[in-house]
Amino acid sequence: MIARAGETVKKMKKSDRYTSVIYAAFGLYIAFEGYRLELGTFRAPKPGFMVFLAGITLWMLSMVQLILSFPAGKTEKQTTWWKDRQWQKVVKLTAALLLYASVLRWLGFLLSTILLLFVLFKGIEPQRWQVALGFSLITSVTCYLVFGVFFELRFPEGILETILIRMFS
Amino acid sequence: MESLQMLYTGFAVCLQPQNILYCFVGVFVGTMIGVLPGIGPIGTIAILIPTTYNIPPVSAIIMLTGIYYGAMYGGSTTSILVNIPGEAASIVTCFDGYQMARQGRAGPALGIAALGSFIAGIIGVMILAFLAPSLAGLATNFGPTEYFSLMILGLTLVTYFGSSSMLKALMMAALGIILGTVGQDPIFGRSRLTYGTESLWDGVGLIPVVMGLFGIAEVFVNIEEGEERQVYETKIKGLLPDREDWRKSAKPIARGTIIGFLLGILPGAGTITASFASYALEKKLSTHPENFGTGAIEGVAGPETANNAATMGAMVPLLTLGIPSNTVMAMLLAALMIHGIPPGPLLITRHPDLFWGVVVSMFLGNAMLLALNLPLIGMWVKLLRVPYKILFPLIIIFCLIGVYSLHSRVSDIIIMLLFGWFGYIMKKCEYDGAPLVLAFILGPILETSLRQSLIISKGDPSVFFRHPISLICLLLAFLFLLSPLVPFFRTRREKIVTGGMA
Repeated sequence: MIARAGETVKKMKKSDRYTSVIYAAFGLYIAFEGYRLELGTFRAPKPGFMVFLAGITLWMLSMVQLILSFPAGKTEKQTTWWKDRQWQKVVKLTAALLLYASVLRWLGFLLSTILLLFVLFKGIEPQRWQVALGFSLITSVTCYLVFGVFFELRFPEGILETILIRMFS
Repeated sequence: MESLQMLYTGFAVCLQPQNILYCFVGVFVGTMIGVLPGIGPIGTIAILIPTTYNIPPVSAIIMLTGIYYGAMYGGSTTSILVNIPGEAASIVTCFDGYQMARQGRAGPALGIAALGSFIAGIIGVMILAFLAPSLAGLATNFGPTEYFSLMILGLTLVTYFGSSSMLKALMMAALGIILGTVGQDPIFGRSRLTYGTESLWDGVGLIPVVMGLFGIAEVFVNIEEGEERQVYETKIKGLLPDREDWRKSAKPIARGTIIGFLLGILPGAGTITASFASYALEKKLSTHPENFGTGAIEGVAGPETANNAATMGAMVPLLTLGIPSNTVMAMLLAALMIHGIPPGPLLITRHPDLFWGVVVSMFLGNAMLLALNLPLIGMWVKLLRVPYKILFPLIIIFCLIGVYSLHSRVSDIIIMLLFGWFGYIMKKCEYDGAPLVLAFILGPILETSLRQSLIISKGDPSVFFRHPISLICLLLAFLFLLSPLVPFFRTRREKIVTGGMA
């Protein structure tokens, strides 16, 4: 989110430590994978050359970040990531998207999108059900017509698409 | 003289009815997403790239480019009326623009933002038209050695300008290079880091990554915060600045144009740095710096001019060298490649209709934007009142459509979601996504250039120091990398990145 004008952003040293450790481990792993792919020589670099270089670079930078993240005597103001945040909505949204991905090919674009939008309009930031249903239907059909018909993008077909195609052909 | 003749070609291409329509669509959509927080030009261009498959490349690039500079115009509207920037490049416009709105001067603020952007856009396009062909001619002498060093300098500048923590930006760049190696090795064709997954054989897709990092992650952050916007209730009257406003704004507009264009050329600097740098400069040069932050029109004129000039400057390295200077240019590069047009020094000679058509379309687009943003300002104000709880499902659907329509693969949706979570966590830890995306795009070119240079020089790394252009680029990169260690330069950098606000 773009910060409101005038807000200052506080440094979070603890998160720097955690991310540094994760990145360092990842960098080392990638360097190992690069080594397994064959480094070659300077004269004839092989597929693992760049992978190894990038992995080692990430590892080195992470180690520097890790060292710098330890405070030099000063106490730091601890900021929690989740306090006063509605993180449950993020989890709900993720679950809805995963469900959408799993039913998309089976139900087709229109029906899955209507259902997803209804869940988003009603479940994440609750609206009246008439508003949620109305917006879901209008948005889904409009997207289908604009992107699927006008721009000719290929969407998975389900029962609603079959009905629409039969109606207009 | 030749440029003037080619401009005539550009007019012939751009003034075709189809291209006028696509130019209008681009700037209209750009203004809309500039007004609406929650999705920016990066995500929008990523979503719309698949829709351009069936339209001519010239029309596609005209439309996508229009989205970029259109968003700069739109971003100022929310900054002035709501004190929330629609685009990051309009953050500084909040400081004085909103104060002007509170004083009943929203009209002149909006007016000077639009007019300043227009002037910068026109001058920027003219400089681009005359500068680009010469640069492209120079770049035909570049070999893999020069390209490698230029990429290194570009990535260094991205990390220097783009984030308050250069170390974190470098880490993200390294991660981007790693991501870019997934898929087939460019020289031997061997599979790397795919783990037998078919959907990764061609590499991780740029569009799922970008939509995840900049679309889905942004939605996650916004719904978690749950804030609603308060639109300042003011009647917008007198859109045209008066004589006193013009007297105060003339020099900031002139300076903003130059600063913006130059910073736009530099990788990583872009519109955000340009607007901050312009604000800092105007405050420094003003005889009444204490007025800044209380409704000084110079604080709107300069930055808004600079951010639009930067969009023009950003086109220079993309269209002449094939090197994107920011994430939006990276998306345009992807669009060019999807349409079978490899960007680089030969673009101007091999596809003059595309180059000059796009350049001239920016004249036309800026004129359209003036009409969209002044007389039609009421329409955008109404749009501002749409609550985010209605907007975010639409953003999600557009992201899903954009990602699925690339290859009709559900795995792309999963990748987008994964990067959405990654971007969400990284925002909390203050890691910037832009270096990752740029390194992801430039990484394969960097690797190919490096390996080709080493093969040609029979493994002698001093080849990078024996070519003058390569040597200069590497020296500059080295200086920029080490400068934060020197207190004087560290302070200078912090001032540039934060506009003197920290």
